[in-house]
Amino acid sequence: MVAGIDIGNSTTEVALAMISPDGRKEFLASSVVRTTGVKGTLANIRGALLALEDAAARAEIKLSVLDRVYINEATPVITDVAMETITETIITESSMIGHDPDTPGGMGLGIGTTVHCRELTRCSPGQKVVAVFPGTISFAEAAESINKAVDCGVLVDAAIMQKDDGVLVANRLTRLIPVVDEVLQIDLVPLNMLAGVEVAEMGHSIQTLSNPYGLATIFGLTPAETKTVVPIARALTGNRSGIVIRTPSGDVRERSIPAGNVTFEGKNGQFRVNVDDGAHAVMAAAEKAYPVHNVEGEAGSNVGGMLKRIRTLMGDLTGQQASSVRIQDLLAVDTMVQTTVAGGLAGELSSECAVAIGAMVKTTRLPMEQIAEGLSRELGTKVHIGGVEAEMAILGALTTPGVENPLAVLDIGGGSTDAALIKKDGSISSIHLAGAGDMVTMLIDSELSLNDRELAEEIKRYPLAKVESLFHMRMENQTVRFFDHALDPRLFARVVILKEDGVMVPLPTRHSMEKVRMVRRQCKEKVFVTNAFRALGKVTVTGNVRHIDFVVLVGGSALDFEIPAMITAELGKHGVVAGRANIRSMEGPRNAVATGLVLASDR
Amino acid sequence: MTDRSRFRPEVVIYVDADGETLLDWVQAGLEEQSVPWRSATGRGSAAEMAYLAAQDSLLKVGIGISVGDVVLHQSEMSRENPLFSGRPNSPTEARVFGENAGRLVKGLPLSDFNPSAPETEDMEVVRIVSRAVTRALAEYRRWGR
Repeated sequence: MVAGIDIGNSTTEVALAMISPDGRKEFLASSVVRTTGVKGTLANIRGALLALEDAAARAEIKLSVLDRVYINEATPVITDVAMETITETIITESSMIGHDPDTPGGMGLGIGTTVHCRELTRCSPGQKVVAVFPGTISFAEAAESINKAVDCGVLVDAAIMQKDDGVLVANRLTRLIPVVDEVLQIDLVPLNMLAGVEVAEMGHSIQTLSNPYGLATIFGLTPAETKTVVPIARALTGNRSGIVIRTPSGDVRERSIPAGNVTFEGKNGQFRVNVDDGAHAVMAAAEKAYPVHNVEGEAGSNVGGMLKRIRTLMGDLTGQQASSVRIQDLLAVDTMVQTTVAGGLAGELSSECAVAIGAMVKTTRLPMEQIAEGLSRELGTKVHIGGVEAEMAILGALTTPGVENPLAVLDIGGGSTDAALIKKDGSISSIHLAGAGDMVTMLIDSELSLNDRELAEEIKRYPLAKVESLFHMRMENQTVRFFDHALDPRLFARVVILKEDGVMVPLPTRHSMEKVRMVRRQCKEKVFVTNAFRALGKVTVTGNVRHIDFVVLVGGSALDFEIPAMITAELGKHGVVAGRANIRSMEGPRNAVATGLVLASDR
Repeated sequence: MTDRSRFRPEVVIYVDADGETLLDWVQAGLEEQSVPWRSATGRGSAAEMAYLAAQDSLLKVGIGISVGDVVLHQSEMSRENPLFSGRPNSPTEARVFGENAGRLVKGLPLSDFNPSAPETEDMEVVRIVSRAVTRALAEYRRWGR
């Protein structure tokens, strides 16, 4: 009776088998539990025992009948991700309100000096004004005060309201003007300054405030000044309404923080690249330096901080000095992140370009002997350290029906993407790369501006649906599902994620289902398809993936409902058969290393 | 039986004799959403009137207002299951009924029916803890088989 235990970064897996004297192996059971503690520490023993107990229970045997137990020779890998924003929207010399409320009132472009509604009675005939109404004024009073002022000859060209009363006010006015509402911070609106207020027809976007020359016309700007209003025009593009107020020698002064640079030290020398130049430039520098010995990030930048963090973590784990830890791989991906516009009065967000960076540090053999010893004592059976992890993964993967050498195993997990290749002659090469499930989650979080890592993780893992009525929803593949009982009103008209047991979680965003789906898939592609090619390219001698016939996918992310299909499709274009593994024809992508340990046990 | 062909598609509101003020606020919500409506006096409980209003509305949405109660109904729901009922304490709370009737018709997500309910610190703690527990249970279920 033999057991193989694979202690991984996230899960600890066990394969249990009976080996007969003639060498035949009959697999009895398997199990999977969450790894306890950081991989490579004594804390793992508890998880290993739990997994063994679970497998033994399934096989209906007692742990005491185990003859031999093997654990994997772990190569710990520590990974982390960080984001660097490389563009920034800063508004100077003006203030802007671009929160795009749902129900603005009226229509058109209004230009005038901002005045508090109290001051309307003191305005002179012919004066062009934009009336500002705090929430203490009812919509009826607001409309009345505007009409009265207009009767006296004051040119009330537009109105700005704190409450959501845009349509109500506009419907009661004698003259059609634009009314922008839901300006929560009404006290921040500068008074006695020139302002432009625009509301487009239903279904349209504003045309003047989103045009630098439109702004130049309204405010009489010089060419130099027109350059400074481009960020405003950009931020208001596509809005149904907007407000721009000229506040000369404005109080908004922002320093642009450069994203910093990254230096790759490799066989071919040192290559420094500015993160500002984008993911492509960063990856090109990495290629030039390949094989990479170390990566350094600029102090004070987000990337620099992240690289320092993983060095420290690894240093703690292995007892090394953090400064002597070598970072061997980096994955850069272009993405977008929502940041607040400096100079916006209503917490406006704009999509800024950013570069997401995943980094990885690994070390050679961990002192697994300690873990083996500790486990031996608990079990009362000798625990051996089985072979090299990559080799065990290959042995296990070979139990997938339909494969043969040359075979590559692509292990796609949460922190890293690992590849192991067995060539026709039986020799094995392997590699670990940065960039996996955690990076995908971070990208989804930032591109959908969720600020909720857990929600991003759920969006990554589950399919979507749009609740179209209280009794039906349309799923992302367009099939419609009906319900006998009315759905919770909180789900009405929302995009929801469909979890197990019929649980539906509404998304708190305004994004359409198609947008969320597209972001989800693109983030997975940007990390996993890229890394599949990078990993496979690096394990083959020729660097050409076409020279690998079979690729099997294992690991947590191989359980994802769409990632394996994406990789199958892309690799298929290069003549490679790739797909989710099926260990021992029944385990799917799980249990490869544990199975391999058992198979190798009689060597 | 109301002859529905005489009316435009609109939200229907049935209100009792004393519901004038509440009616004004509810209507403001519908007007701000630019959704058409009509109102008429009716008798009975707010729930009964809301149900009838929903059946009479070509847009399938009805509101009943009676002795301080406001009920929002949708014609496909069963009689006993209105979408929401409440006793609004302020113009804002009453307006939400009108706004949500509008959003229901327009196919937009509904806003919170209790915007003025204060969020206590305890609620925040409850939310954080329940999320952590749910997550731990989900993980346990994920890894066990």
